[in-house]
Amino acid sequence: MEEKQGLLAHSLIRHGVSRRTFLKYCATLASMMALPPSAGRAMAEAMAAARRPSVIWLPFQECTGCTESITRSHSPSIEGLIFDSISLDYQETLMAAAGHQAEEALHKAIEDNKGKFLLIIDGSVATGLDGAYSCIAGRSNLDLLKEVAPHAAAIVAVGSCAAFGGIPKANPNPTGAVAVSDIVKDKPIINVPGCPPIPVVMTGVLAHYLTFSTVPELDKLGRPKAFYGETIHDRCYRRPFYDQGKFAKTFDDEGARKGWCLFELGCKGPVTYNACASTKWNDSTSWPVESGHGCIGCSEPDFWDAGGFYKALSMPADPLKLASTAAMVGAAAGVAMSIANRAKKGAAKSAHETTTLADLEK
Amino acid sequence: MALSDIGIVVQGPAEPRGDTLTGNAQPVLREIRDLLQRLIDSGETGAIDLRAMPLSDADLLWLAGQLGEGEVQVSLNTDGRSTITETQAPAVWWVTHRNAKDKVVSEFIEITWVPDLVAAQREDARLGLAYLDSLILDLSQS
Repeated sequence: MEEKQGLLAHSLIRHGVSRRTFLKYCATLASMMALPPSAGRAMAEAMAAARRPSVIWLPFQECTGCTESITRSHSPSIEGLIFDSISLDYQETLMAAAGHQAEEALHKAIEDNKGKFLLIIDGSVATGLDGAYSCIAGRSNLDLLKEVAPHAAAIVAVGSCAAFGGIPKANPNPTGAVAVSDIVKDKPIINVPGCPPIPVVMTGVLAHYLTFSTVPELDKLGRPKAFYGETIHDRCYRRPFYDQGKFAKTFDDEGARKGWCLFELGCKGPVTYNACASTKWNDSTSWPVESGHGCIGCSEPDFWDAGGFYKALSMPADPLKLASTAAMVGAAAGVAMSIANRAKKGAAKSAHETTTLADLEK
Repeated sequence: MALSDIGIVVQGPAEPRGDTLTGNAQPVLREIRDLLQRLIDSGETGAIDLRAMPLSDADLLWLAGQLGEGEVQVSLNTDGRSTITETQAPAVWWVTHRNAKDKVVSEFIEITWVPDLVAAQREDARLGLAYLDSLILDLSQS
């Protein structure tokens, strides 16, 4: 029990992580979370003093890809330590207990931490046939969610299935799959979509909760703005080619070999809000666009039914106009990058605002 | 089997991240200037997150070239290598953090007298004290 109540700072010391190392980690985390550089130290201090929150993780209609992704976040690392610093009281894939023992652990965790635990859910909720399409220990996911959710402090819907219904909800949705937010209406829900989500985004949400004991600022789809505040396109290293009007037309032409923009090959980067372009995947090794494939928009609702991964978005902005606007504002203001940046982003936003996933079929 | 055993020939640039100047680096130089002025006038420190901006590799190289290298270089070996390099403008530091696989994970320009990470931390100093005490205890027992 003492272990459970221990401070993260003690756990860091036990693992031989110096405060300086932790400061470095927090500086990087703050950068990834788009917080000002000065936030790193504040985060380090708050997190080191945080107590381990109890976490209950329920898997519903899912493929376990989200768990796979998160358990492979740079190990062994401080990220792993952050994950260790929560008290994961129930997680079917990772827990040693099984059968009745496991169910007992779940009920004990709920009882011991009523109103205080963080509920993580991956997978959509099947509602067809009263939820009979997906059951754990003879009980439907729907039933379980309705029982556990009222006692949680907040819910984190991990992956596109829990956040938006995801692949189980794809047409014709035989199981009547819905998102967690379609069932639970009276709890703060943090959506962390992606198929799977980026591990560091998950850690970032936990770090935020440990640091501020609050839910991070969310966008209109319930996603943390820190990670989902900008589109893939906004932060794409191929963006200059888009601005210059240089596009790959096939996957093996000269443009593809030179790393030009994949917009015409169906890249959904301009309408997809996620952090892949800045955090990358597999320990910052690469990410889909860097490996030559367009973004498929997996962190957006109904991406599976959005009209084809290789079909170009219908309304490209005028690339040349965009570039010159940014350059002009930059030269005129000349004071701060952020001004030019904001203007460029504003221009990009207004150029794209008429394009939504629903428009893809037009 | 290692990755290098797979017979793949990379055509074109191996690192696709832009070799083109975007023109985004020049305003950063002006911002650094203003932050340095502020440090001198009021003592208030500043930092710029280079990863938070659409800068290509070419932009970063350009910026690094403009700023040059100054008198102090610090290297940190902690969860990967980090380098803290003073530029030709004293009090302007280029900070690069790498992970254990030597990939750059974050990069900042810090405008300060001494960057935070260079100073020893109180918590670590306490561990150091405990270490020295244990050494002395060992010596006194032998």
